[in-house]
Amino acid sequence: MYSILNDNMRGIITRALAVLVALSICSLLRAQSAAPDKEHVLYTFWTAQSQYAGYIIADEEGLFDKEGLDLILRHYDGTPATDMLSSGRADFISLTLVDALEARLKGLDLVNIYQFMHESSFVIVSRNPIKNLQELRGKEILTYRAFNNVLIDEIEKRLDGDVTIIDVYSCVDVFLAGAFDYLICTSYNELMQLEDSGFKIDRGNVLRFSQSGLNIPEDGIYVRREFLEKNPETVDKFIRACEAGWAEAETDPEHSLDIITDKMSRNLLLRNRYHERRMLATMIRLRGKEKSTRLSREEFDAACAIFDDEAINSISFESFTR
Amino acid sequence: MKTLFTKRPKTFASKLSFMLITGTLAVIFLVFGLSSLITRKGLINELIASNTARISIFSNRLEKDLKVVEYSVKNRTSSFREHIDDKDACKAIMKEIAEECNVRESFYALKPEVKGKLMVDALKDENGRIRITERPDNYKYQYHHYYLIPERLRRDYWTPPYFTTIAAQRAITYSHPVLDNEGNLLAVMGADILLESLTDSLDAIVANHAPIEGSYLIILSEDGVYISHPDREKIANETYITDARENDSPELESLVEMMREGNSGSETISLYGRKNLVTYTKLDGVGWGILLATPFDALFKRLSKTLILSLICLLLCLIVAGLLISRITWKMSRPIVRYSDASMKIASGDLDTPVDKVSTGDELQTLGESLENMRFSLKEYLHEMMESAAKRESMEKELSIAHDIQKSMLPSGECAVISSNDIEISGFQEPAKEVGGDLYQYMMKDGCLFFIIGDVSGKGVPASLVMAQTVCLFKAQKSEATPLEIVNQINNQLAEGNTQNMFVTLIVGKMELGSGKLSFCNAGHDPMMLMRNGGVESVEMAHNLPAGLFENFGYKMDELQLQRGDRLVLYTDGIAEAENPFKEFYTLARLEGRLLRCSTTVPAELIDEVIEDVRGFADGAPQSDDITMMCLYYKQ
Repeated sequence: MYSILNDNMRGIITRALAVLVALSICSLLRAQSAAPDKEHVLYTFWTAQSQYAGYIIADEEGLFDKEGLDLILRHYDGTPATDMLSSGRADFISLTLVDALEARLKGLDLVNIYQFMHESSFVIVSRNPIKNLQELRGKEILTYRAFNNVLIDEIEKRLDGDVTIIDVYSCVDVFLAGAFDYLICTSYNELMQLEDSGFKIDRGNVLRFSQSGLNIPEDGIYVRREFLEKNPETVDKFIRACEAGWAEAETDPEHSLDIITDKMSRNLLLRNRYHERRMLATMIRLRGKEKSTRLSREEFDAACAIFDDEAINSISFESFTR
Repeated sequence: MKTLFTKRPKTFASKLSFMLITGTLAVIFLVFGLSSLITRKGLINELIASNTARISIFSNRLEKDLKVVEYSVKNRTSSFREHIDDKDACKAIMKEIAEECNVRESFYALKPEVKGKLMVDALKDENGRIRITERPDNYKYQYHHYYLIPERLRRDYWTPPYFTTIAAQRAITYSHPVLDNEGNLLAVMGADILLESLTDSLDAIVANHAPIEGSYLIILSEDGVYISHPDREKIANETYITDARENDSPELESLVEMMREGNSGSETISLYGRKNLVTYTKLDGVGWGILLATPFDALFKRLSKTLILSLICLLLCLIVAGLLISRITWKMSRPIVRYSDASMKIASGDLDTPVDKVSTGDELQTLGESLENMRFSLKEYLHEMMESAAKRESMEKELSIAHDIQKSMLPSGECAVISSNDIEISGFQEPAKEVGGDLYQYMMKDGCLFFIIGDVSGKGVPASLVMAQTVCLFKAQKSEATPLEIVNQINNQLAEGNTQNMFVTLIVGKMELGSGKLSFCNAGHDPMMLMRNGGVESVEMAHNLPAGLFENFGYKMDELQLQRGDRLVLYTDGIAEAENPFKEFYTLARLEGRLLRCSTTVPAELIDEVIEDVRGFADGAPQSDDITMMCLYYKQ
């Protein structure tokens, strides 16, 4: 067969083989450079829902992979997020600012690397019209105290302890049954659940924390300082992927809802597309107009101000943020 | 299709057919539409009644299924209270409850402040085996709604649906407060049932009692969450509000609001893009709502089929009816076509073709007879008209001859103007009709000028005859006869046998040319006018009766000495009584005025000037009387 080829053809074949070899070497080098980091875990402090739309989209749409991150997104399974971080089972956790500061006081050396929410979502819902916090003196208030305990404590302080906070898991059902007249809840979830069940909400019977001088930012992403120092590029990639995920959630909410509700279904969670749509819209609104990914000094100071523990002063803004 | 509506029928029969068919079609569709509406209304009312009865069955069944669970717990409450401090006894009670057919799990939770913190579950597995467990110490049951609501409100509570942690099935929990004799809470007892067991049981009932194929049942929890729904995905996940807003069914929201307020009934609402009749009620015990929806398209499916079949039959009937109507109207309108043809012939002058007779015994027959009568009458009338026209033509011819004869009796040709060295006389006459009653004449006999002017009473032929007789009598006079003799003779001749009492006014004159002596006799005529020395005056004369009235009447004669240059004007009343369009008379005064302005001495020219003035005055108004004028000029 070789003998039948002339010199020109032999030259062409030789050149083609050389190109093929060069291409193979390049692709190997490239694959080596884009090889994913070691496996990382992002753990959210609550179950899958639109509250975590950006992270779910980034995970389901392969945005972490595109950044070269081998990331597993896990949602609350009964283990507190701080436990997941301290035990090393998660590298990234979502946490509220107040809970993160509380964890820091308890010795967990975590750092805020990504601040998503810049507004407080907390509201007090009353069965009757309410104008200010002081009207709650002597009352019993329902809430779910899994998170933001210091914030709830601040409410008690502002009322000089003249209030009873009732900690309930299914606070919406208990409130709807008429067992209590006041409920502290989030505007992106429980408040909408109340509306979805037929409870009439208007400005007169909802008191926002932000109206009472308690506009403390909430959800952000935290890592251990040690992790940040060792993996600064990984953190950068993570933030880029999260931003891309949130951007897609904002630009194509219906597609995002398809992904979110599908994930909720797989996780055997009750799901309601209408509710999730409104939750997503509220989350994007609570992010603030600036859409900053960083915690500001003012936000940090506002959150620190509600802590009684003097030790809070030992936490500097610089050491708490990236 | 376009042609059908734009091309209108032309014949009466086709128009009538078109109108009848259109009218019939309209009436049929109206009746059809009304009956369809009434039928639909009846079907809806029937469905409301049947759905109301059925929803009662379904709600009873649902309540029964729930009561089974409630009673299995409640019936053991006193025993539980009695053995509340005996954990084993309490566990045995829980086992009994869990063994009940529908129950998946039973539990009790002690009030921590009274009896210490303890929660026990009795869970039935797939094989029916009961496993009793105690919840760990860190499990905060007192923070859960199934405990808190009965504790707080001292009432039973059914939770909304939730996913079970083990088999990921949808379940609901019933919890019941266990109170001591003082009403203090000791514990909360309860039981879970799988939602599927509840809905499957209901589905079987619905299938057996389905009012209309396609009907479906919706059950809502106290919180508005779907407990049962034809779309299983919505169960436990959706509330009526999220479903209504997500699926553009706002009426569902308002209907459920009414139901939750304790109302029940039936409403027509749009649900999932279809119109539905929804019958609803609230289960008072548990606060749940139950809705039975029947889509209208399912309800009217059979009606629609019947409707289409009926419409096809109707259209076929209409086609047959249309053909029949066309044939009948064509036949009925045949006489009209014949009458139309006959009318056209009559209009074109053919009065000899008789109109066809029809024997319909109705208005058409009468119309035919009337048309035939009209043809006959027209024919006769036309015949009479033709005869009368012939007669009139003949009469007109005779009158023309009479006119010519009468004209020939007046001075004409060489005799129209008599002119000598002494006198010149001329006359003019214009009768109002073919023949008139005015007359004038003059003649020379033996150096004397004889003249006459007169006006016979009446007009037309009788007057012309009297005129002719008068002129003949005048002409027949001898030269020696005086005007008085002439008038007497004329009077006597006319008066003799004057049964018609006709008379004639006249002036007869005789002038001796040499001396200018004028003798004249006036028989009731207008006075002569004398133009002398630039003036005009009426000539005084005796007042005699017109001639022809009384035989041998004693007329008197007058005399007048004419001077050279005198002009004597004679006329009949046609001049003074000539009318203009305003019915005004010309009058003698106007005649006098005109004569004063006349400069000519030639009688013919004078007459022409006066006649022209009269015509100018009349200004085209019809002439009502004969006009006659005569002028005598006694030359210088």
